[in-house]
Amino acid sequence: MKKVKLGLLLGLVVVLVAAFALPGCAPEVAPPEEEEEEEEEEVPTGSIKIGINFPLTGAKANFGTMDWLSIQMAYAKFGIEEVGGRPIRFVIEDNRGDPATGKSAFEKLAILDEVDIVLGGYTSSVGVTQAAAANDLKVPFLICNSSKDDITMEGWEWVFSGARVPASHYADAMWGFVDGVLIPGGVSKVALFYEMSDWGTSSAEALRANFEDRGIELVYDEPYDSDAIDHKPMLAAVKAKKPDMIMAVSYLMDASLIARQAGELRLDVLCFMGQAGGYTMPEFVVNAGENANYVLTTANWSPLAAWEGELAGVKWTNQEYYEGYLGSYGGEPDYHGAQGFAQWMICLDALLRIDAAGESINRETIREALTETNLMTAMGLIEHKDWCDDMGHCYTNQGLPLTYVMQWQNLAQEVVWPVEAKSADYIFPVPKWEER
Amino acid sequence: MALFGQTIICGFLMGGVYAVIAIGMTLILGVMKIINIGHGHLMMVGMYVCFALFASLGLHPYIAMFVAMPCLFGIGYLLQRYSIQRVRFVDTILPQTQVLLTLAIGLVFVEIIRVIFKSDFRSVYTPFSSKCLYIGDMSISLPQLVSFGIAMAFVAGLHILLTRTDFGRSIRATAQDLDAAKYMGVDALRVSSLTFGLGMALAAAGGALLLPIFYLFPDIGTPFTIKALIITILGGAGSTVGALSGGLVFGMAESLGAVYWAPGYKDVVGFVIFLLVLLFMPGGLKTVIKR
Repeated sequence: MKKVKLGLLLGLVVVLVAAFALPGCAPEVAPPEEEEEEEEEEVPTGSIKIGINFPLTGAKANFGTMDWLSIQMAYAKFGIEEVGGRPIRFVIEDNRGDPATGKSAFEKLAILDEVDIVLGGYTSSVGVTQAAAANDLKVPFLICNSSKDDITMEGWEWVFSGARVPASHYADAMWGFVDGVLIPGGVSKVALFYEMSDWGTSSAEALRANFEDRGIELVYDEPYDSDAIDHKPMLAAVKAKKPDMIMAVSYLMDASLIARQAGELRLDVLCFMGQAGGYTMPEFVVNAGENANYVLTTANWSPLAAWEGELAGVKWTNQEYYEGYLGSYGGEPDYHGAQGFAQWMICLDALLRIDAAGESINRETIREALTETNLMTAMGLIEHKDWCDDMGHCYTNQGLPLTYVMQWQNLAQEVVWPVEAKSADYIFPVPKWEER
Repeated sequence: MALFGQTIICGFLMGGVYAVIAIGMTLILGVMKIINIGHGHLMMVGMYVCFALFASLGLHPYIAMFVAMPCLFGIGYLLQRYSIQRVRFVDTILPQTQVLLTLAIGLVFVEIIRVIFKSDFRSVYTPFSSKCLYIGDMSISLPQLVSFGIAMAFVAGLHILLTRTDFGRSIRATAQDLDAAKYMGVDALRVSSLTFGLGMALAAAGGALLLPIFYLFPDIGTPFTIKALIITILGGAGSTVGALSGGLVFGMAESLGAVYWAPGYKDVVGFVIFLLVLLFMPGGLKTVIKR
């Protein structure tokens, strides 16, 4: 019995060794030659799908709606309904101003709807998720407003700034005003407060660095919750610091509340400067009333800027866009809307250039065309370039539209800086509250 | 000194408005033992009623409030009678079904309001909106002062209702022991429905008082639900005095936190107080006051 078992065991060992060793002893057989097939380039047919990804409902809907309405205005203005024999079709997704929803919406547009390009971006937190998705999925993404610097600092080749101004550069015109007017006028102490958001903190980082470079003391430097009902505790703390100037970064309703409550507290300063955002919007003066007067603000656009040009054989002017929006929708646009109008111009320009070159319109050719954008728009000259600024920010596919300083005077916005573009003289220092 | 005084004034006045918003929730929680997660959303409905009357007829929110309150009373009564009551005493998959139902109701109202009014921000701005009284360097907002006064009147009125009327006694009896109240002849279903309606009416009042000093949009309700819940726990469920003291404490904590710590962390102060009360004083301030 033992001999039988030993025999079986030896036999099993032989089989196992043979199973592992024999395949290695076989002569190598050359793989069959693969016939080279000529790859035919797949030419897209059907409509050119433009993905639209904005907050159309929710707390940020007024901005997203303004963007989308302005895009539609531009679409109607230039009258191009098809390019290269392919009709243009919009595929719309509402991201409700939520980053996770914005990402999901982008993925749906890219994967299920197979759009050729996505126009989107408001707010910055949503723009970040959209841009990341765009680069992962290799879909050209043309930003409208999302201004957080990082979005175009990641080296993402599928993300294009369009007419957006990076947050740290919102105040570019303001620094000329600070150097030429405010510092000689006695401003040496600044109170800085800003929303606790991507845009607020990104803006504050640049503002802080620039104030410190100029030897200006930041006597107050705090973020605040934009949903707060009562900003007076914060403003009272600011008042106690006796600043010469207030620098605020706010969305619309907190900007309105802050202006109103600053008046209630009689917070007297030499000037109150807002960094665009809510301070430029027409609704600011509606909600803040006379407390809006004398507030200065940086701005990325003005209806008074004399931008004009021609696209697809159609002449346009900036003033025409402003009056058209006002007439069509009963409310004034601000720079968000102008960016939306410009966004369609940039997209259309890219499509027309691809068609003129005899190439097929697809995601890759659109991406390449966008890298070569050099177009005058309602926001000024737009280019997509790679460059670095003095703060060490290095951008990819980012332009730098001109910025301005505006001031609310008699409940209307006036351009006060740069001097060459002004529509009225600046008022500085501003009157005390008791004297108004 | 002026800064400290201004901080206390701001906190005190806001706390009064918080109190009247929260008192509706504390009433409902005390009687029905339900946390109404839709409380802030229904307050928002009351605010939109006031806004609509202001926009169409020019009625100031302090006047329009007396239209919004009956509207919300009716909505609250019907909701309790024909929806919440259905899941109160039945076996459900989750013991928290009543709470989830209130959340769902709130969300439905949010979306209905969004369809009607869109998501645009609205505000009621009148020449009175920025008027102030001044004591030295300190300012007292007139709208906030008037809101505080009206809020105190409502709190006092509710306290009198609960302590000096038969209906109030029925409410307190139902809150203390539902079965015993039934045995004593109290129509518990009617009392619960009327109490829910009353809670909603008070939330509408709080919203109307808030309208001249804040702005309005469909999603405004959630932060106020959270504040009302904190104040309810802080003050003690079912106690008007507790809600008042909780509101004032919460308002001043927010204000002091914004000034002496950082405005970005003012909510943290309130939440820390909430945690401490849950851990060390689960009965709320009313237990301290009663002692």
